[in-house]
Amino acid sequence: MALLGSRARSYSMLLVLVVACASVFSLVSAVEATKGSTTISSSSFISAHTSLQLLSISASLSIFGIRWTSGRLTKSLQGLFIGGAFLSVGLFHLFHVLSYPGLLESSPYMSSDTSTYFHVIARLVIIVALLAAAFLPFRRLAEVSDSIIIILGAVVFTLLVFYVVVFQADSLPSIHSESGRLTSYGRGLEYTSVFLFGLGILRYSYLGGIHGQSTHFYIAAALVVGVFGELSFSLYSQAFDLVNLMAYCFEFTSFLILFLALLRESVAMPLEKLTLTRRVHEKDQTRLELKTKEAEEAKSRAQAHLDFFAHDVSNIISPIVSYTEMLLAGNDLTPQQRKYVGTILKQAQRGGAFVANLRRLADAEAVSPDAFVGIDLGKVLLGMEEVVRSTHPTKIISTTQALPVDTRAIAPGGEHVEGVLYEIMKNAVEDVPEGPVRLSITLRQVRHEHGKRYWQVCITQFDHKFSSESLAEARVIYDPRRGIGRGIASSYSFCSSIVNHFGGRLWIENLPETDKTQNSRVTIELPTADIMTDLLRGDQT
Amino acid sequence: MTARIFIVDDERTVVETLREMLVMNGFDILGWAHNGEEAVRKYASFVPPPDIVIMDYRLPAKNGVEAMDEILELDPSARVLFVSADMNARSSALAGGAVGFILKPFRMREFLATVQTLVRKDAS
Repeated sequence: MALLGSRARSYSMLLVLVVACASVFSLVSAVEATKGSTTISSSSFISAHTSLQLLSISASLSIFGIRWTSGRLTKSLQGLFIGGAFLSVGLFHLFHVLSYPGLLESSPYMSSDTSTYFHVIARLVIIVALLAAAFLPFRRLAEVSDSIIIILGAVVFTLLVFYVVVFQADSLPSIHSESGRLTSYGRGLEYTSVFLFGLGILRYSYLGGIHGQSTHFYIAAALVVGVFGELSFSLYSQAFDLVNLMAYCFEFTSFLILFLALLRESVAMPLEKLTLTRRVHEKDQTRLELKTKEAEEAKSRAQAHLDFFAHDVSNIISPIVSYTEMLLAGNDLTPQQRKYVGTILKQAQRGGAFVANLRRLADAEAVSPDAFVGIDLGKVLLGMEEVVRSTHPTKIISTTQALPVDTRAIAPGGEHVEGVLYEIMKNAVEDVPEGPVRLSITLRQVRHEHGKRYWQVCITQFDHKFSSESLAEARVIYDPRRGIGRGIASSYSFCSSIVNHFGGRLWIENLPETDKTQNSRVTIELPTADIMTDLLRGDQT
Repeated sequence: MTARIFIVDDERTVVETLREMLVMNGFDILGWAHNGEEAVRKYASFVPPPDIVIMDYRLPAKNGVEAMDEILELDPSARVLFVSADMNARSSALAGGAVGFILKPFRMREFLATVQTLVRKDAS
């Protein structure tokens, strides 16, 4: 409705403009008809004419500047085309002023014919350019070469016309008679302009109605005023009479409206859109910050809930495990009861392990892989044996370690990767119910086929074999989006997910049996610190 | 002489489970506390002090590490074994002077073996 209202208002304004121009035109024509031709002194007329023309030239060249610059920025072929046309128009008006008889010292190149030709050509160029802009599709985006071709074309065309009008004047039909009026040929050209201006008015009014853009209505308004200017030019009887002066006034007004319309379209409207977009962007930014804060708070709450959940579930499960173990340690159970209690114990332990692992993974995933939190693998591995001994004081643990002496093995993951290493050592120790636990730990740097370097930790356990179930479970990467999968209680599955989160990988395997000895190995590879530095710099190669 | 144990845990069921498990296996339960402040106060009142303190980490009023710090100030020879569901507390507990850390839920066999080892070390 607002658009319809806006269109109706635009059409009404056009109608009012037509009536206003027609009234001025009729009034001046009526005065001329009743009182006879009112001439003005040549000096006054030339002063007024020159002033109005200089303003028109300024408007033309301003339109050229605006359309040219905005056309290059927005890659608008149409904008560049109109800009080029108005460069020619401005120059033609300049030639018109300079060749106007009486302005400067008498020169063979100054004549009414020459001056009028430049003026008429300028009017024709304007309307032809505006009609072309209104009818041609201009779908293609403008290249830099287009802008050069168009400006060169405009200059060449102007110089060519200049040459013909000034130096080949004899070959052109006379446009201005000795009596100071236009010849019938000249009037024919003016009527042609009027017709084309009328066509332009209809086309731009139509486009304004279709697209609802005020610029089209402004151009139509400029053409309405221009039509009355052309009519005035075709009707004046003396070069310095009131009708001719009125024609120049109409012409200047037409230029002014056109200039304002194109200034509005090329400068004011993009600026308005930019301001609006900035406001929207600022609002979006504020909303985004708010949402980010809310998300951070929700994440923090979720982590706190998970923390409490994991803690309390472990506390709840702990007595179940202890009591079932106490039951199993006694001799009061039937085989059936023993089976049931055994299952309860196993499932309670699985539940406890799952919750603990889930919490460990959630803690790790709360850390962005980009936020480099380093771990000195050599230092941690050196101290790990002591930590495991302290938590398993009854176990006999013997380890051999091959760690780099002169290089610090810095990798990402911080305490989370340290937790993974502890978990692997703990599993190794707890998987051996009786007898000593023998481990070999090596740390070295490896380079993969894609050129990236990794720290590789191998924890080999002697006289130990992973069950096929453990091997299968370890291959399952915990992913709640795909369902929990078989790795529900496999700490290796969670450890693998944590290592993956920090850009590495983990796998477990049974080594080939030699001399009736079965060994197993857990391997972890983590990117070296320099890769992480590259990632932080944004170098993805 | 039977080893005397002091249990600190805010979960009453856990305290009861530990107590029964330890009594069944020949240990003497000197007492128990449900928060950090109570733990420090009670420890100070024991004469002679307990052989082993079994300490939870997440406790009301004062957490397990803070309580252990105060107990060690009172008695530098105190032996504190952490039994907690907080895996993140392991490093701070061991760094603070704990003689061991067992993660809940634990295996009874592992737990009892650990306590017995500590008692033997204490006796020697």
